[in-house]
Amino acid sequence: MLSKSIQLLIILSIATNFLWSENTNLIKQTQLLEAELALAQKPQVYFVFHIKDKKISLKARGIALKEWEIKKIRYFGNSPPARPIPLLKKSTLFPPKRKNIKPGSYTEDGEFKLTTLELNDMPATYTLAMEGCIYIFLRPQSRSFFSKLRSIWYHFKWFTFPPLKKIWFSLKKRPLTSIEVVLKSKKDSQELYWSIMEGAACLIF
Amino acid sequence: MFLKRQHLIPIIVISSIIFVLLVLEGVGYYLGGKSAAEWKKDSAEAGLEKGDLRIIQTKNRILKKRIERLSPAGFYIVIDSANNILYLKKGPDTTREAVISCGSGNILEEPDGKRRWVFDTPMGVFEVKSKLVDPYWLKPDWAFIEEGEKIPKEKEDRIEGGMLGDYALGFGDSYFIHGTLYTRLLGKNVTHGCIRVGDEDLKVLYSASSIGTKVFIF
Repeated sequence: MLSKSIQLLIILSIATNFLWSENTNLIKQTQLLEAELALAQKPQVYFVFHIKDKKISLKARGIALKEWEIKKIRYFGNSPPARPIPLLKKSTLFPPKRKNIKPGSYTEDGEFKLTTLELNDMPATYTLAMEGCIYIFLRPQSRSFFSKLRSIWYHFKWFTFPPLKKIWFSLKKRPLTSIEVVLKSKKDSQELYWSIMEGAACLIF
Repeated sequence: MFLKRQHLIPIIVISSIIFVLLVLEGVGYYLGGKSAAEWKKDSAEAGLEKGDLRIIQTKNRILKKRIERLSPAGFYIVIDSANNILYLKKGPDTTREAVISCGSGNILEEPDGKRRWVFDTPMGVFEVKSKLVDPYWLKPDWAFIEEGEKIPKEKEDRIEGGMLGDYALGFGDSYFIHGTLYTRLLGKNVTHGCIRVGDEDLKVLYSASSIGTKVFIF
Protein backbone atom coordinates (compact mmCIF):
# COMPACT_ATOMS: atom_id res chain seq x y z
CA MET A 1 0.00 0.00 0.00
CA LEU A 2 2.76 2.39 1.04
CA SER A 3 4.90 1.51 -1.98
CA LYS A 4 1.92 2.10 -4.30
CA SER A 5 1.35 5.51 -2.73
CA ILE A 6 5.00 6.39 -3.19
CA GLN A 7 4.83 5.26 -6.84
CA LEU A 8 1.72 7.39 -7.37
CA LEU A 9 3.37 10.39 -5.75
CA ILE A 10 6.46 10.00 -7.97
CA ILE A 11 4.31 9.73 -11.12
CA LEU A 12 2.26 12.77 -10.08
CA SER A 13 5.35 14.83 -9.33
CA ILE A 14 6.93 13.88 -12.67
CA ALA A 15 3.71 14.76 -14.53
CA THR A 16 3.34 18.10 -12.71
CA ASN A 17 6.96 18.95 -13.33
CA PHE A 18 6.57 18.05 -17.01
CA LEU A 19 3.45 20.19 -17.39
CA TRP A 20 5.09 23.08 -15.54
CA SER A 21 8.24 22.99 -17.67
CA GLU A 22 6.12 22.55 -20.82
CA ASN A 23 4.14 25.61 -19.82
CA THR A 24 7.21 27.75 -19.08
CA ASN A 25 8.89 26.59 -22.30
CA LEU A 26 5.80 27.63 -24.20
CA ILE A 27 5.89 31.10 -22.65
CA LYS A 28 9.52 31.47 -23.70
CA GLN A 29 8.64 30.13 -27.15
CA THR A 30 5.94 32.81 -27.42
CA GLN A 31 8.47 35.53 -26.62
CA LEU A 32 10.92 34.14 -29.16
CA LEU A 33 8.26 33.75 -31.85
CA GLU A 34 7.19 37.34 -31.29
CA ALA A 35 10.82 38.40 -31.63
CA GLU A 36 11.17 36.31 -34.80
CA LEU A 37 8.02 37.82 -36.29
CA ALA A 38 9.44 41.31 -35.74
CA LEU A 39 12.73 40.25 -37.41
CA ALA A 40 11.01 38.49 -40.30
CA GLN A 41 9.00 41.61 -41.10
CA LYS A 42 12.22 43.52 -41.81
CA PRO A 43 14.31 43.05 -44.98
CA GLN A 44 17.20 41.31 -43.25
CA VAL A 45 18.67 37.89 -42.62
CA TYR A 46 18.82 36.56 -39.07
CA PHE A 47 20.15 33.49 -37.30
CA VAL A 48 18.32 31.12 -35.00
CA PHE A 49 20.30 28.85 -32.67
CA HIS A 50 17.97 25.98 -31.79
CA ILE A 51 19.64 24.51 -28.73
CA LYS A 52 16.96 21.87 -28.12
CA ASP A 53 16.58 20.85 -31.78
CA LYS A 54 20.36 21.00 -32.30
CA LYS A 55 20.45 23.13 -35.42
CA ILE A 56 21.37 26.62 -36.56
CA SER A 57 19.12 28.29 -39.11
CA LEU A 58 19.87 31.23 -41.33
CA LYS A 59 16.51 32.82 -42.02
CA ALA A 60 14.87 35.72 -43.79
CA ARG A 61 11.16 36.51 -43.92
CA GLY A 62 10.54 33.33 -41.95
CA ILE A 63 12.16 31.10 -44.58
CA ALA A 64 15.09 28.91 -43.55
CA LEU A 65 17.64 29.70 -46.26
CA LYS A 66 20.27 27.38 -44.81
CA GLU A 67 20.52 25.04 -41.85
CA TRP A 68 23.49 23.54 -40.08
CA GLU A 69 23.25 20.48 -37.88
CA ILE A 70 24.74 20.72 -34.39
CA LYS A 71 26.53 17.55 -33.34
CA LYS A 72 27.17 18.48 -29.72
CA ILE A 73 26.23 21.41 -27.57
CA ARG A 74 26.89 22.43 -23.99
CA TYR A 75 26.16 25.60 -22.13
CA PHE A 76 27.10 27.29 -18.92
CA GLY A 77 25.90 30.39 -17.09
CA ASN A 78 22.84 32.55 -17.56
CA SER A 79 20.01 31.73 -19.93
CA PRO A 80 20.06 34.05 -22.97
CA PRO A 81 17.23 36.58 -23.20
CA ALA A 82 14.22 35.85 -25.45
CA ARG A 83 14.88 38.76 -27.81
CA PRO A 84 17.09 39.42 -30.87
CA ILE A 85 20.71 39.47 -29.77
CA PRO A 86 23.13 41.28 -32.09
CA LEU A 87 26.45 39.68 -32.94
CA LEU A 88 29.14 42.10 -31.84
CA LYS A 89 32.29 40.33 -32.99
CA LYS A 90 33.56 37.19 -34.70
CA SER A 91 36.90 36.36 -33.16
CA THR A 92 39.39 33.77 -34.25
CA LEU A 93 43.11 33.16 -33.94
CA PHE A 94 43.81 33.60 -37.65
CA PRO A 95 41.14 35.78 -39.28
CA PRO A 96 40.94 35.58 -43.07
CA LYS A 97 42.87 38.30 -44.83
CA ARG A 98 41.62 40.14 -47.86
CA LYS A 99 43.99 40.53 -50.79
CA ASN A 100 44.84 43.91 -52.21
CA ILE A 101 44.68 44.47 -55.96
CA LYS A 102 47.57 46.48 -57.31
CA PRO A 103 46.13 49.16 -59.66
CA GLY A 104 47.21 48.54 -63.23
CA SER A 105 48.02 44.89 -62.63
CA TYR A 106 44.86 43.76 -64.38
CA THR A 107 45.16 42.20 -67.82
CA GLU A 108 42.57 40.54 -70.03
CA ASP A 109 43.40 37.18 -68.52
CA GLY A 110 44.71 38.67 -65.28
CA GLU A 111 41.39 37.92 -63.68
CA PHE A 112 42.08 34.24 -63.88
CA LYS A 113 45.24 34.55 -61.82
CA LEU A 114 43.60 36.49 -59.01
CA THR A 115 43.77 35.07 -55.57
CA THR A 116 40.43 35.65 -53.94
CA LEU A 117 38.79 35.22 -50.59
CA GLU A 118 37.04 31.87 -50.68
CA LEU A 119 35.23 29.52 -48.34
CA ASN A 120 38.42 27.55 -47.69
CA ASP A 121 40.08 30.69 -46.31
CA MET A 122 37.50 30.90 -43.53
CA PRO A 123 38.39 29.65 -40.05
CA ALA A 124 36.61 26.59 -38.69
CA THR A 125 37.14 27.38 -35.01
CA TYR A 126 35.96 30.73 -33.71
CA THR A 127 33.94 32.56 -31.09
CA LEU A 128 30.86 34.68 -31.63
CA ALA A 129 30.69 37.43 -29.03
CA MET A 130 27.16 38.69 -28.65
CA GLU A 131 25.52 41.49 -26.76
CA GLY A 132 24.85 40.74 -23.10
CA CYS A 133 28.12 38.81 -22.57
CA ILE A 134 26.97 35.79 -24.58
CA TYR A 135 29.84 33.84 -26.08
CA ILE A 136 29.29 31.04 -28.56
CA PHE A 137 32.36 28.98 -29.32
CA LEU A 138 32.08 27.01 -32.56
CA ARG A 139 34.25 24.22 -33.84
CA PRO A 140 33.88 21.23 -36.17
CA GLN A 141 33.59 17.66 -35.00
CA SER A 142 36.98 16.03 -34.40
CA ARG A 143 37.74 13.43 -37.02
CA SER A 144 41.48 13.10 -37.46
CA PHE A 145 43.97 12.08 -34.76
CA PHE A 146 45.31 15.63 -34.44
CA SER A 147 41.89 17.23 -34.21
CA LYS A 148 40.98 14.72 -31.50
CA LEU A 149 44.12 15.76 -29.65
CA ARG A 150 43.12 19.37 -30.08
CA SER A 151 39.66 18.63 -28.70
CA ILE A 152 41.32 17.62 -25.40
CA TRP A 153 42.52 21.22 -25.16
CA TYR A 154 38.98 22.46 -25.91
CA HIS A 155 37.60 20.26 -23.12
CA PHE A 156 40.25 21.58 -20.74
CA LYS A 157 39.43 25.15 -21.80
CA TRP A 158 35.72 24.58 -21.33
CA PHE A 159 36.09 23.22 -17.82
CA THR A 160 38.67 25.81 -16.75
CA PHE A 161 37.91 29.26 -18.13
CA PRO A 162 34.10 29.69 -17.96
CA PRO A 163 33.95 29.07 -14.16
CA LEU A 164 36.75 31.59 -13.53
CA LYS A 165 35.09 34.06 -15.90
CA LYS A 166 31.78 33.48 -14.12
CA ILE A 167 33.28 34.58 -10.78
CA TRP A 168 34.67 37.73 -12.39
CA PHE A 169 31.36 38.54 -14.07
CA SER A 170 29.42 37.82 -10.86
CA LEU A 171 31.65 40.26 -8.99
CA LYS A 172 30.86 42.87 -11.64
CA LYS A 173 27.17 41.89 -11.40
CA ARG A 174 27.00 41.06 -15.08
CA PRO A 175 25.46 37.97 -16.71
CA LEU A 176 27.62 35.49 -18.56
CA THR A 177 26.56 32.83 -21.04
CA SER A 178 29.02 30.40 -22.57
CA ILE A 179 27.83 28.02 -25.26
CA GLU A 180 30.01 25.50 -27.07
CA VAL A 181 28.72 24.25 -30.40
CA VAL A 182 30.29 21.37 -32.30
CA LEU A 183 29.24 21.33 -35.96
CA LYS A 184 29.16 18.32 -38.26
CA SER A 185 32.08 19.28 -40.49
CA LYS A 186 34.80 21.83 -41.11
CA LYS A 187 32.88 23.07 -44.16
CA ASP A 188 29.74 23.72 -42.07
CA SER A 189 31.79 25.71 -39.61
CA GLN A 190 33.42 27.73 -42.39
CA GLU A 191 30.06 28.35 -44.09
CA LEU A 192 28.61 29.74 -40.89
CA TYR A 193 31.62 32.02 -40.42
CA TRP A 194 31.18 33.24 -43.99
CA SER A 195 27.45 33.93 -43.63
CA ILE A 196 27.20 35.42 -40.17
CA MET A 197 28.02 39.10 -40.30
CA GLU A 198 28.86 41.32 -37.38
CA GLY A 199 25.69 43.13 -36.40
CA ALA A 200 23.44 40.24 -37.49
CA ALA A 201 20.47 39.55 -35.23
CA CYS A 202 20.44 36.17 -33.51
CA LEU A 203 17.77 34.34 -31.57
CA ILE A 204 18.69 31.60 -29.15
CA PHE A 205 15.78 29.18 -28.72
CA MET B 1 64.46 10.89 3.07
CA PHE B 2 63.21 14.24 4.23
CA LEU B 3 62.93 17.19 1.90
CA LYS B 4 65.14 20.12 2.64
CA ARG B 5 63.50 23.38 3.62
CA GLN B 6 64.54 25.06 0.35
CA HIS B 7 62.62 22.39 -1.60
CA LEU B 8 59.64 22.53 0.67
CA ILE B 9 58.83 26.22 0.08
CA PRO B 10 58.21 25.95 -3.72
CA ILE B 11 56.09 22.85 -3.15
CA ILE B 12 53.96 24.70 -0.58
CA VAL B 13 53.63 27.73 -2.90
CA ILE B 14 52.62 25.59 -5.91
CA SER B 15 50.18 23.54 -3.82
CA SER B 16 48.62 26.73 -2.45
CA ILE B 17 48.17 28.14 -5.96
CA ILE B 18 46.59 24.88 -7.13
CA PHE B 19 44.34 24.85 -4.05
CA VAL B 20 43.20 28.44 -4.62
CA LEU B 21 42.54 27.70 -8.30
CA LEU B 22 40.52 24.62 -7.42
CA VAL B 23 38.49 26.60 -4.89
CA LEU B 24 37.86 29.32 -7.50
CA GLU B 25 36.86 26.68 -10.04
CA GLY B 26 34.46 25.19 -7.51
CA VAL B 27 32.91 28.57 -6.73
CA GLY B 28 32.68 29.38 -10.47
CA TYR B 29 30.98 26.06 -11.12
CA TYR B 30 28.53 26.62 -8.31
CA LEU B 31 27.62 30.08 -9.66
CA GLY B 32 27.45 28.85 -13.26
CA GLY B 33 25.37 25.83 -12.30
CA LYS B 34 22.97 28.03 -10.35
CA SER B 35 22.55 30.30 -13.38
CA ALA B 36 22.25 27.34 -15.74
CA ALA B 37 19.18 26.22 -13.80
CA GLU B 38 17.56 29.39 -15.21
CA TRP B 39 17.66 27.84 -18.71
CA LYS B 40 14.73 25.68 -17.69
CA LYS B 41 12.72 27.96 -15.47
CA ASP B 42 13.50 31.56 -16.39
CA SER B 43 10.35 32.15 -18.42
CA ALA B 44 8.34 31.41 -15.31
CA GLU B 45 10.26 34.14 -13.54
CA ALA B 46 9.96 36.61 -16.40
CA GLY B 47 6.95 38.19 -14.76
CA LEU B 48 4.52 36.79 -17.31
CA GLU B 49 1.05 35.71 -16.40
CA LYS B 50 0.73 31.96 -16.15
CA GLY B 51 -1.90 31.69 -18.84
CA ASP B 52 -3.77 28.62 -19.75
CA LEU B 53 -1.64 26.10 -21.66
CA ARG B 54 -4.10 25.99 -24.54
CA ILE B 55 -4.21 29.76 -24.93
CA ILE B 56 -0.41 29.92 -25.15
CA GLN B 57 -0.34 27.01 -27.61
CA THR B 58 -2.91 28.74 -29.81
CA LYS B 59 -0.99 32.01 -29.63
CA ASN B 60 2.20 30.21 -30.69
CA ARG B 61 0.42 28.52 -33.58
CA ILE B 62 -0.90 31.91 -34.75
CA LEU B 63 2.57 33.44 -34.47
CA LYS B 64 4.08 30.58 -36.52
CA LYS B 65 1.40 31.05 -39.19
CA ARG B 66 2.06 34.82 -39.28
CA ILE B 67 5.79 34.16 -39.78
CA GLU B 68 5.06 31.59 -42.53
CA ARG B 69 2.81 34.05 -44.32
CA LEU B 70 5.73 36.47 -44.72
CA SER B 71 7.47 34.17 -47.21
CA PRO B 72 7.20 35.30 -50.86
CA ALA B 73 4.17 34.08 -52.77
CA GLY B 74 5.79 33.58 -56.18
CA PHE B 75 9.32 32.86 -57.34
CA TYR B 76 12.25 34.06 -55.29
CA ILE B 77 16.00 33.83 -55.68
CA VAL B 78 18.38 32.49 -53.02
CA ILE B 79 22.11 33.02 -53.46
CA ASP B 80 24.66 31.06 -51.45
CA SER B 81 27.75 33.23 -51.97
CA ALA B 82 30.01 30.90 -49.99
CA ASN B 83 29.37 27.98 -52.35
CA ASN B 84 28.58 30.07 -55.46
CA ILE B 85 25.18 28.48 -55.99
CA LEU B 86 21.93 30.16 -56.95
CA TYR B 87 18.52 28.63 -56.25
CA LEU B 88 15.36 29.71 -58.00
CA LYS B 89 12.59 28.78 -55.61
CA LYS B 90 8.84 28.81 -55.40
CA GLY B 91 7.57 28.09 -51.90
CA PRO B 92 9.68 25.29 -50.47
CA ASP B 93 10.50 23.88 -53.93
CA THR B 94 13.71 24.57 -55.83
CA THR B 95 12.88 24.92 -59.52
CA ARG B 96 16.42 25.67 -60.73
CA GLU B 97 19.90 25.39 -59.29
CA ALA B 98 22.76 27.23 -60.97
CA VAL B 99 26.50 27.51 -60.48
CA ILE B 100 27.43 31.18 -60.29
CA SER B 101 30.30 33.53 -59.45
CA CYS B 102 30.14 35.97 -56.55
CA GLY B 103 32.40 38.72 -55.20
CA SER B 104 36.12 38.13 -54.77
CA GLY B 105 36.42 39.94 -51.45
CA ASN B 106 39.52 41.73 -52.75
CA ILE B 107 40.37 45.34 -52.03
CA LEU B 108 41.31 48.03 -54.55
CA GLU B 109 42.72 51.36 -53.47
CA GLU B 110 43.11 54.41 -55.63
CA PRO B 111 46.81 55.22 -56.07
CA ASP B 112 46.37 58.53 -54.20
CA GLY B 113 44.60 56.61 -51.41
CA LYS B 114 41.46 58.71 -51.56
CA ARG B 115 39.04 55.94 -52.47
CA ARG B 116 38.86 52.26 -51.61
CA TRP B 117 36.61 49.48 -52.90
CA VAL B 118 35.87 46.09 -51.33
CA PHE B 119 34.59 43.65 -53.93
CA ASP B 120 32.05 41.77 -51.85
CA THR B 121 28.65 40.57 -52.97
CA PRO B 122 26.26 42.30 -50.58
CA MET B 123 24.42 40.01 -48.19
CA GLY B 124 20.84 40.47 -47.10
CA VAL B 125 17.35 40.74 -48.52
CA PHE B 126 16.91 42.59 -51.81
CA GLU B 127 14.44 42.68 -54.65
CA VAL B 128 14.69 42.86 -58.42
CA LYS B 129 14.53 46.56 -59.30
CA SER B 130 15.27 46.45 -63.02
CA LYS B 131 15.16 43.91 -65.85
CA LEU B 132 17.39 44.58 -68.82
CA VAL B 133 17.73 42.88 -72.21
CA ASP B 134 21.10 43.11 -74.03
CA PRO B 135 22.60 45.18 -71.24
CA TYR B 136 25.80 47.13 -71.64
CA TRP B 137 28.32 47.82 -68.92
CA LEU B 138 28.77 51.40 -67.82
CA LYS B 139 32.27 50.99 -66.46
CA PRO B 140 32.67 52.53 -63.02
CA ASP B 141 35.82 54.39 -61.87
CA TRP B 142 37.29 51.33 -60.15
CA ALA B 143 37.33 49.39 -63.44
CA PHE B 144 39.67 52.00 -64.98
CA ILE B 145 41.83 52.21 -61.85
CA GLU B 146 42.14 48.43 -61.76
CA GLU B 147 43.24 48.40 -65.39
CA GLY B 148 45.64 51.29 -64.79
CA GLU B 149 43.77 53.52 -67.21
CA LYS B 150 42.75 57.14 -66.99
CA ILE B 151 39.17 57.72 -65.84
CA PRO B 152 37.23 59.17 -68.80
CA LYS B 153 35.12 62.28 -68.48
CA GLU B 154 32.52 61.33 -71.08
CA LYS B 155 29.85 58.74 -70.34
CA GLU B 156 30.22 57.27 -73.86
CA ASP B 157 33.79 56.28 -73.08
CA ARG B 158 32.59 54.13 -70.23
CA ILE B 159 30.19 51.97 -72.25
CA GLU B 160 31.28 48.41 -72.93
CA GLY B 161 28.89 46.04 -74.72
CA GLY B 162 28.71 42.26 -74.68
CA MET B 163 30.21 41.84 -71.22
CA LEU B 164 27.03 41.16 -69.25
CA GLY B 165 25.36 38.49 -71.38
CA ASP B 166 21.83 38.66 -72.78
CA TYR B 167 20.01 39.77 -69.64
CA ALA B 168 20.61 41.56 -66.37
CA LEU B 169 18.56 41.82 -63.21
CA GLY B 170 19.40 44.83 -61.06
CA PHE B 171 18.89 44.55 -57.33
CA GLY B 172 20.10 47.97 -56.20
CA ASP B 173 23.30 49.97 -55.68
CA SER B 174 24.57 49.08 -59.19
CA TYR B 175 24.62 45.36 -58.36
CA PHE B 176 23.31 43.01 -61.04
CA ILE B 177 22.69 39.36 -61.70
CA HIS B 178 24.05 39.06 -65.23
CA GLY B 179 25.70 36.78 -67.78
CA THR B 180 29.41 36.27 -68.32
CA LEU B 181 32.06 35.68 -70.93
CA TYR B 182 34.16 33.82 -68.37
CA THR B 183 31.99 30.74 -67.98
CA ARG B 184 34.97 28.66 -66.87
CA LEU B 185 35.14 30.79 -63.73
CA LEU B 186 31.60 29.94 -62.66
CA GLY B 187 31.74 28.38 -59.21
CA LYS B 188 34.52 30.71 -58.06
CA ASN B 189 34.52 33.97 -56.16
CA VAL B 190 35.95 36.26 -58.82
CA THR B 191 33.54 39.14 -59.43
CA HIS B 192 33.54 42.74 -58.25
CA GLY B 193 30.31 42.14 -56.33
CA CYS B 194 27.83 41.33 -59.10
CA ILE B 195 26.53 37.82 -59.61
CA ARG B 196 27.53 36.09 -62.82
CA VAL B 197 25.29 33.35 -64.17
CA GLY B 198 25.60 31.01 -67.16
CA ASP B 199 23.53 31.82 -70.28
CA GLU B 200 20.85 29.12 -69.95
CA ASP B 201 20.31 29.71 -66.25
CA LEU B 202 20.14 33.46 -66.82
CA LYS B 203 17.40 33.02 -69.41
CA VAL B 204 15.29 30.98 -66.95
CA LEU B 205 15.94 33.49 -64.16
CA TYR B 206 14.96 36.40 -66.38
CA SER B 207 11.65 34.87 -67.41
CA ALA B 208 10.76 33.68 -63.89
CA SER B 209 11.45 36.94 -62.13
CA SER B 210 9.62 40.22 -62.24
CA ILE B 211 10.15 43.62 -60.66
CA GLY B 212 9.85 43.04 -56.91
CA THR B 213 11.02 39.40 -56.93
CA LYS B 214 12.86 38.82 -53.68
CA VAL B 215 16.59 38.10 -53.77
CA PHE B 216 18.09 36.57 -50.61
CA ILE B 217 21.87 36.60 -50.46
CA PHE B 218 23.94 34.96 -47.73
